[in-house]
Amino acid sequence: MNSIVKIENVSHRFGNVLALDNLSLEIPAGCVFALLGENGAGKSTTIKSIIGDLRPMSGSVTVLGAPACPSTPELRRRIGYIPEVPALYDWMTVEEIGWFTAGFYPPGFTERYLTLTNDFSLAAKQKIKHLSKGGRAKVALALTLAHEPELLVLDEPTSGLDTLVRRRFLESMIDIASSGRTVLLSSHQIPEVERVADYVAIIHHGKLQICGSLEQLKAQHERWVVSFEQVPAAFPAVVGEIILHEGQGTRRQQLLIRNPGPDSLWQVRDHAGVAEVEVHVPSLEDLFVAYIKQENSMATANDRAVNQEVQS
Amino acid sequence: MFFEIDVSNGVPVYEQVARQIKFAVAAGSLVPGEMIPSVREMARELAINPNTVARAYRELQNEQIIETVRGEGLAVADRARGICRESRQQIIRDRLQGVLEEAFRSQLSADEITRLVNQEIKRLQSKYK
Amino acid sequence: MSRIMAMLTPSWRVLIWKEMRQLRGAVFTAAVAGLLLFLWMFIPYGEFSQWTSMIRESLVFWFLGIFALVGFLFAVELFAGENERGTVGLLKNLPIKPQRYALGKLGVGLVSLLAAMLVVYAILWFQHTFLVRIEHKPKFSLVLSLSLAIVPAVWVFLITSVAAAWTRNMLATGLIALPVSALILLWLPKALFGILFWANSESTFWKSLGESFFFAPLTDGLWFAPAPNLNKNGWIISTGAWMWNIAGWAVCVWLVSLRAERWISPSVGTRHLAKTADEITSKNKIAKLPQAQWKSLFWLAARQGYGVWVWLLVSALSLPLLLPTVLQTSKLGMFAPFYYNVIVLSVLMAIGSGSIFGNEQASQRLSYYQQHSVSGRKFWWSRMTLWLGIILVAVGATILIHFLLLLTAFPSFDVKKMISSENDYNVLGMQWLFRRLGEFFWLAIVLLAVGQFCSLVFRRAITAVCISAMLGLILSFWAISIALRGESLAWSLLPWGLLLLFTGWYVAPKWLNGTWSLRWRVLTVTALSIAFLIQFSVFASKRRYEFASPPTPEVVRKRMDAVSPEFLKDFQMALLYDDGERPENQDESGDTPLHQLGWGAVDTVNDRWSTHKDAVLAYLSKNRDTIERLKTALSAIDQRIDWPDEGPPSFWSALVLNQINALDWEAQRLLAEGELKESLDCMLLQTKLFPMLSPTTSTYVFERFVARMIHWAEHPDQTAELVSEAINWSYFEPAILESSRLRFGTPSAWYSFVQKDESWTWHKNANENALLKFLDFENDRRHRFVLQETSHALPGYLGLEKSGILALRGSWIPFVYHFSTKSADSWELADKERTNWRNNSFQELKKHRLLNTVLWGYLNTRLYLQSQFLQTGRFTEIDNHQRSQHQNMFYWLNLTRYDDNYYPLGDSFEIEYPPVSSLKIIDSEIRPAKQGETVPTIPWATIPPDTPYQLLPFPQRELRAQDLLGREQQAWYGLIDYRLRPNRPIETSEGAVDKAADELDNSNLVSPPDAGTKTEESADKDQ
Repeated sequence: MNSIVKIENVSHRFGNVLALDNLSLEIPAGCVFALLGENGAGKSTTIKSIIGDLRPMSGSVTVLGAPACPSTPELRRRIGYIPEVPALYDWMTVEEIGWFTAGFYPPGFTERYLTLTNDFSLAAKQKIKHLSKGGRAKVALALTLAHEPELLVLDEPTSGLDTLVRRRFLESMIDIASSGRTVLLSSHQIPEVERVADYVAIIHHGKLQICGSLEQLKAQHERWVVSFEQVPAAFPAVVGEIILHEGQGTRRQQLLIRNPGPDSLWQVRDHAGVAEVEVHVPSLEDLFVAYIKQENSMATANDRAVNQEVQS
Repeated sequence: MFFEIDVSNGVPVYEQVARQIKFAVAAGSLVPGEMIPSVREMARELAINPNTVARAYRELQNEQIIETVRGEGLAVADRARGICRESRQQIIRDRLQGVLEEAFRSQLSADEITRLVNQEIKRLQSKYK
Repeated sequence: MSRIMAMLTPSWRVLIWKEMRQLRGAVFTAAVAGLLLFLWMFIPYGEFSQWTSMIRESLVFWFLGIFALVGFLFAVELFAGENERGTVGLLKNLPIKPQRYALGKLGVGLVSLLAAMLVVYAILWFQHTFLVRIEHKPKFSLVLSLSLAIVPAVWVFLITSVAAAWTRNMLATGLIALPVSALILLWLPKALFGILFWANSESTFWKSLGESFFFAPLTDGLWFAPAPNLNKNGWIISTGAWMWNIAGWAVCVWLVSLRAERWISPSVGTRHLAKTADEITSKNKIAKLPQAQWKSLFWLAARQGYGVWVWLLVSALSLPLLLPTVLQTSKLGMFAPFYYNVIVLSVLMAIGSGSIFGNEQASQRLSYYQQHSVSGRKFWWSRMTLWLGIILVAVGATILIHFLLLLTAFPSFDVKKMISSENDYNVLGMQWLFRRLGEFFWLAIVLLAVGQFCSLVFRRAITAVCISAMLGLILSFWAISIALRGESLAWSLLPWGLLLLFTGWYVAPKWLNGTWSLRWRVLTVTALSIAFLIQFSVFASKRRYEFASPPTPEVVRKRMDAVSPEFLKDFQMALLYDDGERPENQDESGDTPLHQLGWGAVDTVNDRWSTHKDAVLAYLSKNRDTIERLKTALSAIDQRIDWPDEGPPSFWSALVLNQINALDWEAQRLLAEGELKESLDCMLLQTKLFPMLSPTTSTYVFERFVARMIHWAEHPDQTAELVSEAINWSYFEPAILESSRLRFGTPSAWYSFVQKDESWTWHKNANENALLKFLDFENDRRHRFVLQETSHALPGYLGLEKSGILALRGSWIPFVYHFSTKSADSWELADKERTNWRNNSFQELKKHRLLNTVLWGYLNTRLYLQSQFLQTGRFTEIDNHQRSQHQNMFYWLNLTRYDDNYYPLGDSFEIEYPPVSSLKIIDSEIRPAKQGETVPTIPWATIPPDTPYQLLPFPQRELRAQDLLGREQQAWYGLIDYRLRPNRPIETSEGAVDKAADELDNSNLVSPPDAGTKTEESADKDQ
């Protein structure tokens, strides 16, 4: 596929902390790509390396065919970036910051910017320091959209914003995707992401847990709720990759399975002691939680294994 | 178009969109020849990915429920109503299947089930009179 | 303007617009600070007509200081301001190279700086009386002062930009930038050039150039700006200076653009703003805050401030080490650099304390403290006590280092003596100095108070720091002048400082809780400013020193009559002539009656004077109490006195010199009131301050001291005795003493000072060529020309409003007249003034004062004629270039002018500038004589017939000289020396004067009235 962004085997450390652990990603063109992960998972680091703010200690990052770092003005012109807390000149008015930014882009910027601020119902003469958080977000968005970037990178764009502003952001993302450009989005708002994303990547502890089109991911995974007549001694065997198994040792247990075998469901259903199996298509949140928990338990298991090794 | 989309209920989103358009056509709120919003507009309104909408439209086009009008966009096809009605029936049948199966497996008798169904129909009829 | 903007590409256009808009706040701050500084300069000095030359001439320093700080402010605002506002992230995203906006910032900053200076100068252009004038070209001096102030300002701006771009931290920027600027501006070039030139020690040119770099003060126009009045060597030097400047600036710009990429990332700004309470907690471990507030707060203050501590201590310790003492040979120049260091240190301290509370607001941690119910007062105390400790350590370290350097500079200095004995004359000056140094502890506390208050008042950390820095500069100037006046800083500044501290403590809780509204802030600042201004006016309005009239002859006669036996007992002086007991000291002509004449017609004078001398000696070795009294008197003297127009070359010397002058006037006044002892003590106390002057100034001042001694003693021997004693008490660089013109005397006897073993003694030289020897300037040439060059090159110190007429230099009652042309723009006006004076006042003077004083012991005079302007005998504008070539001589008659009366001032300060040919005085004109022309007497300068003396010309001599810069001086060095010789008998007893007159006539050193003969001889020599 035609990739806008290619991240290959990227690792990076901040002091003692491993921020990115051999991460590899590809963002295809013309899609909405969502990066999910907890705080500190490595989303911001990934985004920074795509923007060119950061040169990873190992691996390579290619954006729009060029290396991401050092970031040249030409490349920056084709990328639009909105950080979590956008930096704006408080003393400027809405109008002025548009005029200021227009100086760095080809002509046409100002008209587009003014149209956008109009759409967003921003008063042109209002000083930015008097705007609410939502207003500032709108200004940042208008500034970024006005130069029509090929790649729009959003870092937690809607955190702390009210519903209407959030809606606006979503609509803008959709517009961009409609016109064949790419959006990279990092967010905590899973329902939002679910609506709008084509591709999803989950990062945890700097590692890529899973990546793929949302549709595919949902198709690949199933959420089973298994009810037992009595607490089972052991769980019946399942063909497929169990991502998460909750409620062990109780009468009602939940599993998230990836690529379950064609007959595994019936096998479990027919197993002695199984009262009922409910099958659901997992929501994105289900997937996210499952993968995070899986990584956590694996990490703990690793530590335990290391400790055992040390002890023995 | 004021459709309702629930992204996490397990039903694929494109499926939900297509379904709701079909129902609208079947119910007559969308008439043949009427323009439906473009992919972009629909995606914006519903706040969902345009590819999803595009996929839904593709399906609908394949089922000949909507068709392209040159220079203007997409419109409801002439014979769409009939198709949608059929579809609608099929969809409802599928759902009924699911409910009835559940009822049977929870060991309700056929009589009980029938009684329940009739009660519900009566209630709904009086509600929607 | 908009057209220029339109010509630029869009990205430059918007960048420049943004920078200029952002700089508005800084410009406003700078304007306010500049206004404060101007007010401060003007207020203490009352009406502008009383403006002292010292301040006028050092105006360029004020500009230097202000504009350097403005440059600093702009650079900090432009670079560190982005970080503070958190907008670095925005800049980073823009699709342009970072170098571009770094350069844009530099450009805008420089242009704004220059524009600000031009505005100031435009205002002053129309008020040019406030500025120094170089000679007759006031507007030229304006331009020169501008260029003098521009260069340091640009340096400071660029260095601060580099520091800001490389550290990204506003505080570190300030604390690095200022010492580095001081280093580069003040010491480095001097050190480099000096070393370079001294290395080539064979060539006198290089050697003397190197010396001039060391001995010349900072504002030597040579260094910063081309001085068009120099000859080709001067041009070489100033071209070199400009190359240094431009190269340095280019390096700075390069450094900034080099760092531009790294400067913008990581985005410190967004990180700042995104700090949540959780982040603060995890980083600073303040989780235990509510439970143990004091401990936590101290820990927090220490952790946050440690960077500042390091910088402050490093700066404080490094500054003294930059003193040129380590490089300079002259140890006397040390104290001036100390004051420079005080200023730089003060600004550093102000910057440090200006950031105590400011950073908290910027990082938005206040809400965190509010959340955890941190007590505002505790917060304030925790920081202030830590900071007080830091500052005391820094100041103490600096003073200690200075003290240690002092010890190495003066190896003969006895530390024990200094610490233990307060009454030893040798240490008096040093003790005084160190008491002054100790005063700077108070200054440090006041700076802390000012800084903490600024950091609470202003919401933006940068504004707080910069305003604090400006106030620090102003306060340091003020403190130094207070200290030199002998007053205590504690009384003058500390009360206001304590008030500020109290206010800070009081408002701390409100500040912490964010309830200290803008209205209250403005009110508080206004109230405190009013309090400050009130105290200030009290300081400024101290009683002006009342100028007492110097002794009239009647008074002197009265006092001689009134000399009490007790007084005589106190003073003993061995008279050389009367007792005849010391044959080796008798002059060869045995002119006892002649010298008797000097004491007037009182018979018993000889007895008096013989006991007088012993009394002096006894007094000097025994009487300590008076010194104490005088020390108190020292502190009570007002600073505002008319300055003799030949100002000192150094700003700091100027302040010290003011003090010395104050003592001088006090001595005169005491003398007039008959307080001989006290008068003498005052004069002697001056000598304690001499070591603090720069070498050239101390020469001048010592000369005047000698003149005073002449006046006071009324006998040359006594003078010699007193002077040599004075030399022995005060610490003088032997080179100064040997090479200075410490010679005086009568035609038949000339006194000089020589060092025998460890002490100085006087030597009387009485032979026929004594006068000639006295006129031998070979040894003095260097000093004379140093003075000359320094004076001419500096726009600030020229004070060469010289025009004058005759200088009559008395042997022991010197008086000279100098009228200033401060109000005169052109020399025609000056000429008119001179003519008026000549026609009117001179006659008056001759009648009343001048001649009466002549009567009192005037045996002969020597006339120095020096004019700078003479071609035809009129004062005309001269071209600076021509001046170096020919026909320039000065002549003055020095009296001070006060309340339209004239009073003897003291010795003249001569600048010899050889003429092409000798001077011919013809009728009422004075002009250079053509070769072969006879030179008659000066009719209008002749004392009228009813006076016993007459001016006679003295033969000229030839002198070839090379000045410091190797410029060949003219072959002819004409001096005209005039003697007064008795015209008719003076009515004294025993016809002593008659006798004297006859002797004069008969002595072959004095020519008869027909001067033509003598001149013809010299005229022949000319050919």
